[in-house]
Amino acid sequence: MSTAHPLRVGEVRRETADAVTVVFDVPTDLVPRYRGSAGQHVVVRLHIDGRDVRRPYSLSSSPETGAAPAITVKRTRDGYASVFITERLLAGDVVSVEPPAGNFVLGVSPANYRTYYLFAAGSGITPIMSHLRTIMHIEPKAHVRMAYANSRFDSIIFRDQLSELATDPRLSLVHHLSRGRRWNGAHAAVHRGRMDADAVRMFMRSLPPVSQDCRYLVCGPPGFIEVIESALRVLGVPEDDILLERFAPPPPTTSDDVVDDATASVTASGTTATASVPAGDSILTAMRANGADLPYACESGVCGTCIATLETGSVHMPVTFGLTREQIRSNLILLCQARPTTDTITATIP
Amino acid sequence: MDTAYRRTPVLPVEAYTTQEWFEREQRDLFSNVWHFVGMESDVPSPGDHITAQIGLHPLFVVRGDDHRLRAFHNICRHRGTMLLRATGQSSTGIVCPYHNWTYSINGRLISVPQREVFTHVELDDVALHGASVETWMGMVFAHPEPDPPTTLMGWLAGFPEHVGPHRPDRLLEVEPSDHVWRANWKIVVENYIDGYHLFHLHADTLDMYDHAEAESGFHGRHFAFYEPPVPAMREWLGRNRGYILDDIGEDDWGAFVHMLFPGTGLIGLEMSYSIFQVIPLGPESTRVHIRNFTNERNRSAAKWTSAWTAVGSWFAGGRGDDPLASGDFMEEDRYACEQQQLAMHSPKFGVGATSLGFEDGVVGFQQHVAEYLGTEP
Repeated sequence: MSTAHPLRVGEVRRETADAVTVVFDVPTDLVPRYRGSAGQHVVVRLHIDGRDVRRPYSLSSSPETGAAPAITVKRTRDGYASVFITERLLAGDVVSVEPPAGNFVLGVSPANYRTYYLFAAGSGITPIMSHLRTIMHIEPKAHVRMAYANSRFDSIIFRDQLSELATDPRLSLVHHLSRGRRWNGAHAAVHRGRMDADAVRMFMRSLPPVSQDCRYLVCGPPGFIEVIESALRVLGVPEDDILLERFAPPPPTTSDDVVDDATASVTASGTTATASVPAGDSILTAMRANGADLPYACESGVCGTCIATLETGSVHMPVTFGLTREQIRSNLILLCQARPTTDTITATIP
Repeated sequence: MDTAYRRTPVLPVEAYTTQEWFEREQRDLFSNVWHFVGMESDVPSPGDHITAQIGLHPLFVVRGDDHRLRAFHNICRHRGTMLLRATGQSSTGIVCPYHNWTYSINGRLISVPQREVFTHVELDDVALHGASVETWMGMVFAHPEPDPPTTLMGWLAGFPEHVGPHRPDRLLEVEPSDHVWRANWKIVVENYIDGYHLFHLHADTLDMYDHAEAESGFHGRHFAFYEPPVPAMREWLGRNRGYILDDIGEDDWGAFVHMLFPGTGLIGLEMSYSIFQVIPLGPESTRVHIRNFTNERNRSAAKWTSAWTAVGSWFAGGRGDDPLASGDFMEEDRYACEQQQLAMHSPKFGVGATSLGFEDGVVGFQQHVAEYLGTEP
């Protein structure tokens, strides 16, 4: 069962007009639990105006540089939690935070001799920044080629910090700006226009790999992810070398196989809860309606917080971004997505 | 004085003269290590490829549409025909000359002519055998295994810190030289790393460097060597700075003359960089292929020559057809190597003694070969 701990906000740093970095003070005894890996997220549990809200936010800090864990949050339209964090959260406030989790991780090592291609759009920079800081700090032989897409100059999160990192010749930085005023860049190239397949091809051609062991990391909204992934695959990049992190899911698909009123039993920490699942509802929705306290966060199949092992039965999951291919093969499911396709389902939360 | 005949410090004389040892080397040494196969600048665009024979394995390296290099065994999966020859472009795929089986530049089989007689073959089940490729400072290295026992960086470990300031990937290539020496490849390598002969064989040709001040040693199996210029050479360089490569500061003037095991020499001088490939052709025949690099100013043939003739006082002019009076240190080396090879057939041949210090490289190199092949004939 995932546990959250109250953490004091050490600092709220404004990055752009609508984005802040929140640095957490972690008590000494909890430091190992909150260290995590670059690319992981934490689930923040907020109580806003009488309403409980849980949201996953990627770490923008690198656990390898000794920095305190930090998330960077951009205000989204109608974003209940992001509006609160960017406008009302103050240093000294205490919020409930779950330890880092997630699959958007790399094995980093000083011995690696790799070329990394990083693609980020908008607030998708957050986990990419964590990876970038980690790679530059841990892997002296690594080279990084990074493309960062934004609508305009003012919306570039970490603009100065990226320019500073790019004074190291191992980092080649390319900004893409779709709108707004001209900017010449600092230790960076600036291209006008959207980051489309042609832009990816040009980027790869102008910055060929330095070493031939390459990894490709992509984070941003769904449209961006699909464009970059498909462009990379067309160029022949092996699927296994591409790591994706989605910040919001595409519209869910449906399945005719979903059954009505299936009986689902979920065991967590030795306690089993049972609920009847109406057709179309997820197991998580049915369980919560029955009062069960299960771990969850994004309810979008992205963050992986509600992961469980399917013991009997089968399910349809419209979105499985929170699972690796290996986890899906090993019968792991996301309760927020799982719609029963058999009459009886049993599952266990690790 | 040791008077034993038919031996060298570590290896038996047969290691230098017999077909049987040559074949063992191809199988047990050359098939199992990383080799320099070319420059990244040989394969600038997707579909560009280079071929290389590594021990028993014909390989090729091709640049993909993602601009990554991939290495494959140069063998069609149908009947084993060699797919690609030499260096070139194959942007539309790799077509076997025998029956036109066609592979993508990622190694996948994409078409078989007269498909109706191959309905029992699924294209997706057939791919070229993979090998490994990695690059370092613009130099391309390949290994026949898809998962080699060490990465290139693991294989070079300890050496890169001693390689010196040269960056061949920032230089421009000039005319290569390519010769066949009538000597075993190990004699060529041993001559290359012998610090003793510099004082004597090359007394008039390499006297711009201070051999007594040379520093050398092995890092892993790789030999690193540096010697500073003599004062008069330093003075000449000070007056002719335009010829000097951008990356070479005054503290780095001198000769970096390294040997990556088993047979890739890296020669970094003030005005040039050379890659000295020692390629065994047979027990008594070795191809010495030297690729040369310099800066823009020295590049055009006329200027390239003039850079060297400008230091003419350091290179005695040639006299007739006597290699020892040619004024060309490479000719001197070739002569010495070929004469040693001939002598190895004499019943009286033996290495009497090796110097304290200057010939340590020769002994160390033989020990490294012996790690792969033992010391028995």
